[in-house]
Amino acid sequence: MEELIHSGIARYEYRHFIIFGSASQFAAMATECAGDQGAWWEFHDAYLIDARARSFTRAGALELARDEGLDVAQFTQCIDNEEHRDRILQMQQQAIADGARGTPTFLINGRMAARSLDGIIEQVHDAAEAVENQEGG
Amino acid sequence: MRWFSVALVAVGLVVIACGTGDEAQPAGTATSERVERQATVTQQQQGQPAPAPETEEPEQAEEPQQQISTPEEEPQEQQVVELPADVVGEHKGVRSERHVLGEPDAPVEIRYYGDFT
Repeated sequence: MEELIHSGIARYEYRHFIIFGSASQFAAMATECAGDQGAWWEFHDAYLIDARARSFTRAGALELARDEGLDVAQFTQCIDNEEHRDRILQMQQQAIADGARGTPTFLINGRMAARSLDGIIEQVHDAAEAVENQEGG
Repeated sequence: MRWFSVALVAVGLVVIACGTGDEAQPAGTATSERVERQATVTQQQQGQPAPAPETEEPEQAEEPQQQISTPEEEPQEQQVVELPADVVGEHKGVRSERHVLGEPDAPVEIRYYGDFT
């Protein structure tokens, strides 16, 4: 997947689809608040692998924010005020409109993708080839 | 004796007549109640206050509240949310901005819907 992105064939877009309740909601909000300070992907990665983040607590998120060198006061205000609630809700509505019924869900150029990684890669290459053919023809 | 019998019959008739008169009184009362109800209906039709049960008033008061709440909800759904400007940077050697990794003109968009938990 990384190779497809590095090579410029594909761009990858992550969208929140909250289906597991308040912990998911909090993680999404914390990530968006980190995004205000340019650390969206750092928090994204942390919520996948970092134990502090995966405690899904306010304390864990603040510790992570400090480690990333963020303005903790601004970050705290952002998560306490739920400043990105509407943004996340919009994504939620878009997910349903796109036909997502659970996670993970992949769409490739707007079309529902296969569930397996190999299938996704194959579909990406097919989509890229189709675009090239359109541009060439 | 004949006079006595005639007198008895006369008294009996008077008693029967009085009894009939007593029974007519409730009928007159019922007529009065109907008149009062009709007057109440007329007052209500004319918009005058009527001695209606008090429980009707809250029901009438709830309807406008529902009407008010509906137009309040609609603008919330139509509100345009102003999102903060996305910060463009680099993540793992790739151009990045909020939610997006890779070049904006890449021919293929992989959209992932995920939940961190």
